[in-house]
Amino acid sequence: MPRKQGLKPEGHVTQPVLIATKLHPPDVREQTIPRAELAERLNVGPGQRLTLVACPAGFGKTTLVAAWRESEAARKPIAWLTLDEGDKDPAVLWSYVIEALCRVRPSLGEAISPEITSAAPITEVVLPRLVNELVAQGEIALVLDDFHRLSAGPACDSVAWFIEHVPSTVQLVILTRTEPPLRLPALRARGELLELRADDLRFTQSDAREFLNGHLSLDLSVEDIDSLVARTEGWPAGIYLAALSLGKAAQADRSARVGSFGASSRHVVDYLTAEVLEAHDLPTQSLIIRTSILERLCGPLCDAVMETKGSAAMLDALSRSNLFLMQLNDESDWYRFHHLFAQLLRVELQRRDPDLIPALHRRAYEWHRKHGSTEEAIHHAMAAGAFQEAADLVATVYARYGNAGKYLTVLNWLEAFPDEVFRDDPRLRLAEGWVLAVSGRPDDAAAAVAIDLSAPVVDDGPLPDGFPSFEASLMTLEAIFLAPTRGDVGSQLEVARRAAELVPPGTVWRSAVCWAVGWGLYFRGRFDEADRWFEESVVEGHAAKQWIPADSSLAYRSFIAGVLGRVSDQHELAEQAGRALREHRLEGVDGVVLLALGLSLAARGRETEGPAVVEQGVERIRGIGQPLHLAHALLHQADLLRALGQNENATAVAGEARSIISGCKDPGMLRDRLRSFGLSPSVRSMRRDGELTDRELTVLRLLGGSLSERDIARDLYLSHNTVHSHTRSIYRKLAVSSRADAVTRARELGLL
Amino acid sequence: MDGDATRGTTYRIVLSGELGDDFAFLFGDLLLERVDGTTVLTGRVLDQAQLHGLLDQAQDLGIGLVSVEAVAEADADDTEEERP
Repeated sequence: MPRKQGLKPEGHVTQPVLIATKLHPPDVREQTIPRAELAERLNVGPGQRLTLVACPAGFGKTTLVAAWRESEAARKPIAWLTLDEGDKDPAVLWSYVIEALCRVRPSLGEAISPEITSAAPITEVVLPRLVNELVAQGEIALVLDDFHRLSAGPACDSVAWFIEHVPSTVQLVILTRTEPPLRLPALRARGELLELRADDLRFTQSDAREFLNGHLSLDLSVEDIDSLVARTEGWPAGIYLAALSLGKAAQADRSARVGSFGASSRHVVDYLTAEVLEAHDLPTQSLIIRTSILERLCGPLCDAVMETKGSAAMLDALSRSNLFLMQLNDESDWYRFHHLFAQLLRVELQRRDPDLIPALHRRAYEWHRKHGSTEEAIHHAMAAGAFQEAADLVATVYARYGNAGKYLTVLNWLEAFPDEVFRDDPRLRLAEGWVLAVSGRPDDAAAAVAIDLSAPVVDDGPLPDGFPSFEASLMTLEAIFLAPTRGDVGSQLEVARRAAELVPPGTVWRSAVCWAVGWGLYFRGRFDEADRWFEESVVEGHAAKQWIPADSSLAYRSFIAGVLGRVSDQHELAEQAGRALREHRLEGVDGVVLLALGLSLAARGRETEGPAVVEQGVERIRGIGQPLHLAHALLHQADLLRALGQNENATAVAGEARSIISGCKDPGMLRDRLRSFGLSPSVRSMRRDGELTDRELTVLRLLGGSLSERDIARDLYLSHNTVHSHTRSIYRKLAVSSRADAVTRARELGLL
Repeated sequence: MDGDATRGTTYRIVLSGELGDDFAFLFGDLLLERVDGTTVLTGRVLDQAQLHGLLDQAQDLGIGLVSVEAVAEADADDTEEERP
């Protein structure tokens, strides 16, 4: 499985920031009742891997667990994370989880940091590391609130893996509205699951009495309380809505109100919403209804959305009197509505001011673009139907998110665009292509950018990511990822040279483009010319802080010095590359740098160290999945082994290189290098032009089922456009013109 | 997943409690009616993803789900005709 190879197109880029409010447990409010018996049940014994609090909205899950956290926090550290849509991307989810754990257990932060999620595969590397580090950390609990927002998918799968492997000192508490796909039956059967469900959390008569008369001082009769509990079936949110609607009524009217509520067949939320709102003055009603479109609220954001002033004071007052508006933390004045209440407010907004909704989203977008988070800006732009603005933002930030390993975040944004917007905006298709390529999916990337640039396109560049034109972006993507993946030196050099014409010196992408031209010439065996391009890549890369191409170019310059017999240059360049690797914590290029270091050590007679470092380099390059680079590394390794007299090993390694080279369309000088081992590429295994790629075979199999192209796109995390592009290519290769014919033909050919 | 889902199917979704017409917009093009202490939503649903989206709307409000059924086209037409 190919792994990711990072590429930083923007100089000033840092890791996308974590939103601190997600990491704060909600404060426990005075008005809530303690429910000590329930909280006690959360103190599980060892061996219970998962504590699951699963019930519908409004049952007080968060309140219960937050109160438990407060009472237990002295005994063991309890980390808190509130999930949202963005956490469907495992890289995002685990960067937050690690941050949350490190906050309550600082010693863990010395061993692992959230940034690891941008550099390594989650299930293969990050989670095993985390589990190992947790073993040494003693008792700790992790609360994941709103888990239902993950839905089934890679993020959920990663949590299932974590549950299976986590040490027994870790208590995982999951709060969710829906049964999560976490292999619960197996956990239940092994007695490793503690569950609290709706029936456990319903208010009893005595809970309701304590809450309504004790904490809220409503002074209701026992009969009225029993009637409320019966009418709401003990649903805490319903009882609280009733309390809010009764709070402003005169004492004498309350019993009559309870009576008419009890007699109505209207749903609790329908009956009570209007009454709750009427208990507030008009400006407050207006504020809470209109700001219900926001995931998080703060004074300045609400001022912008309302086009008024003074929202901060209103929020502050409201959060003191209304449990449905929660302060997220003491320092930053952020709040959020209880989800259920927000949804009720949105119903009211739709009823009162449906035409205003896009304008509210647009104001929220504008505020977030200037002062808030990119993700929320994109969300509100989409909700406002301002797809052009959303596209501008995505086209600006996709590379930053892609480099941080947050591929799914970008792909999910792209999926949210209407088809016609996506189809007509090459920037979005290029963003998809780049992210797919960087995440190790070159076949999908190639399909994503199957763009006809001869057709007139809107406003061709300069693009917000720093490319001067669409063609420049496309040629660079081809030269760095797509042509090398096909093992095609000829076309790689051609597109790289075209990219070099389009991307001028002194711009951010110049270093990457010079690097790509250098490769092409290097694999043609034109070392002197290649060296000049690599040298320019280093200079440009340092100027624009593009460390990945700059550092990789140093490694290639070291290879060239080695080939040309300049041993001291070889050594100096490899050492420089090694220093840069450590200084900039580069992940994508470490294989090629290790190879350069190993070869230079071996060239200076370090016969044990050299081959060991070369071996490490080969393994890292293997992970990247680019055939030319792997075959190149293997041939160097074979040379070295032969020089050390290990002929048998040398032949085996060269044999592997041979089978890779046999699959390359144009392996350039690697063919000659192979001949020096008395080997030549086998012709039979060469992939012909008309043959389906692995990815196309996957799509073909899905076309044989009943899923629509749109469903297939969702399953594969691709845009509809890209799946359609795969389909067209399949039809062309099978010489058919319909899905049914493609499936029939594929069956005849034995492909299905 | 059955093949019908990709072409659109008529569903009848029954929720507990009666909801006013103000709530209808949450459920797209489905017809909203109140029947004996329940809310009945009827109409064409494009695919499974849309169906789950509709159920999520009810879930967001803590509204209980009584039943979900795919109904034959003829039954759905009857429902339409019975409306005054």
